[in-house]
Amino acid sequence: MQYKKKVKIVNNAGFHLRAVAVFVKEAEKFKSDIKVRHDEIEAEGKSIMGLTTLGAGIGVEIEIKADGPDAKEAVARLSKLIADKFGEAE
Amino acid sequence: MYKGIAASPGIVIGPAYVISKRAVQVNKVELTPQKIDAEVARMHSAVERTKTDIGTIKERIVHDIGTAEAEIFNAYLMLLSDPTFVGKAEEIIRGQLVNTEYALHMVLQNYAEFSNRISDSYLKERSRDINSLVDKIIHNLEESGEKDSNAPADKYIIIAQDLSPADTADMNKNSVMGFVTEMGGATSHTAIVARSLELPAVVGVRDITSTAKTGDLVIIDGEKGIVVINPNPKILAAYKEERKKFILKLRMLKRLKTLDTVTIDKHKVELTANIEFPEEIVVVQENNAEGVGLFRTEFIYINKSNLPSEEEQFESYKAVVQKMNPRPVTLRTLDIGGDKFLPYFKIAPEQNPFLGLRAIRPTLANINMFKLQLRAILRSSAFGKVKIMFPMITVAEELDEAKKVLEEVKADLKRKEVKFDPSVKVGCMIEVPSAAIMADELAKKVDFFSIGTNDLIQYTVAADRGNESVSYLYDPLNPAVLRLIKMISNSAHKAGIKVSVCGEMAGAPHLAFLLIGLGIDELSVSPSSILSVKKLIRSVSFKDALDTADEALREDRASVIKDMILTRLNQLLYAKEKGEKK
Repeated sequence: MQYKKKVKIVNNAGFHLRAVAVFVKEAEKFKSDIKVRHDEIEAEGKSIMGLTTLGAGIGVEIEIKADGPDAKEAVARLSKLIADKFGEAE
Repeated sequence: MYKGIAASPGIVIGPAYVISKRAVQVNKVELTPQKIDAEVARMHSAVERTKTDIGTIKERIVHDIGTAEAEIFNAYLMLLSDPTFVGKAEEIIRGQLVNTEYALHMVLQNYAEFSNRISDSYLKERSRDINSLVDKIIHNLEESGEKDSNAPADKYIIIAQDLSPADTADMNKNSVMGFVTEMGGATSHTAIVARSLELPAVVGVRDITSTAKTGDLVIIDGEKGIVVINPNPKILAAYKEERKKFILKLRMLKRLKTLDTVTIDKHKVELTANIEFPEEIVVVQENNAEGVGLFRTEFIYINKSNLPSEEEQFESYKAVVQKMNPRPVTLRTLDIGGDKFLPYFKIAPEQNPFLGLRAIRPTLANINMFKLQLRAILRSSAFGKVKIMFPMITVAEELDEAKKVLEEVKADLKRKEVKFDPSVKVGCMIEVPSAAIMADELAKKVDFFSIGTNDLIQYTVAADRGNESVSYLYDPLNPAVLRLIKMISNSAHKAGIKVSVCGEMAGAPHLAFLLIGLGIDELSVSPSSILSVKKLIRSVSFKDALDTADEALREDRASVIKDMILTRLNQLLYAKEKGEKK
């Protein structure tokens, strides 16, 4: 199963280290292979280093791709996490 | 002598340890293939040590401050376990036959290239976090991880441009006496950590790393925000004396922590804290305040590009309410205008902003924004004891209107079956003379009063205290102000409600003494003043406070009143000391 979705970054700090850590923790709960793309650069969804290098700040649109048995759920949960500003109180 | 921002109280004297921007020098060393396995092992053990260090500080932050604040350390730990990070370094060591330092440096450089593509300045700033993590690992490589060879002595004062959360992982309370940074404000991460470790700190001292040298003798006065490098003998002697006093005072004050706030003749005074940021709760709890008497909610609105959502506000309020539970938290609704503005909420330029659209006025002119905040506050009331307070009520109509909106929000929440405390107490601030004069009428409409002395003084004497040519008029002991306070407290008590003072006046011991005498039931002061005010309250009698206040109300000059109070207090405290010695 393969799913993808475009999501806009809405938290002030964007995909910074702490937010990425929260994202990776969530991504690791899924069996699917997860990738995140910003412009032409794609990063491993379960790698904190990779995601941080995407440099996705507030207002940027990224694409979450998942491939695997729980792909649909993974994309849904991860995009919600981004929409919820990674659960941060800003 | 340098002036910075007082971040964590205390006085400390010791040798400087200046940490410059990139203290770690990286040299490339080529290794023979036989040595590679040992080198990889060396790196892994340094990484493990770094993990342990960071794990320790994480636990401490979780315990002292909260899970959210410790998130960054989780990120560090994950990064240290990330195969693209450490794995990449190992690949370089094995592939190019080089030392760990160099390999890590290459990984970092690779990363920096990526970071340079980042257009977002905030994110760019954040990429420094990774640099400091690499520094940590390299630091752990160099020695057995025990002692820092660059440190000037066993104990030292750290002077740095900025301290990242990873740097604080290194802070061993046994060797770090305090610190000074160029960056940061009173609520920066550094300052919070300093307070939680009870290390004196001054932040925001410009250029200090370029003037101070490792080994220089440094004095930090964390109360006044002063740093002295290589003091002359006179200053040094004075500060040694100050430090002695500070330690004595601290010991004495700490003993007061668990004692009740009562006068000698057992008159109870509520002693609560004013806060601006949720992080300050640590200090509030540390000093065992009986509640939060004023939680300024502006922090959540200021420095934002748009209106904070109900959810965001709710989470911040809830965090404080939950931590203080069962002690009460008084949340003041948004107080902007005057000199505080929001980028997404425009107030047209005014001739006289302090006499214009400020405090409850813009709030009542924007009911939706008001309702959003009230919903967030009410929802937080399900998690502890919440009181709501409206700022700067001037006329009865404003209070009626604010209460009406509150009832509407309550009814709406009830309909939607959202949990909140239906008996939440509602109060208003009395900080305008018109409200003080009409306090008897206003008292019938609320559950409590809180006097904002800063504004009450300024509006009573019609003087801006920031304006030097008229600041002589701005005096908390102005007799008209004292009469107004007395009037407010009489009106409150007649209506059977309590009255607190949450202005700066409450935090000065001699003024606190007078306020008790004027009938004030609760003093809400800055978290760090709690114990010194408690000390005063426990050393005087209510009867003496009443007599002194009566006497003060008969005088017509602030200067005379001040002398009178100080003389009385001196006599009382001296008599008490003598009595104790007998």
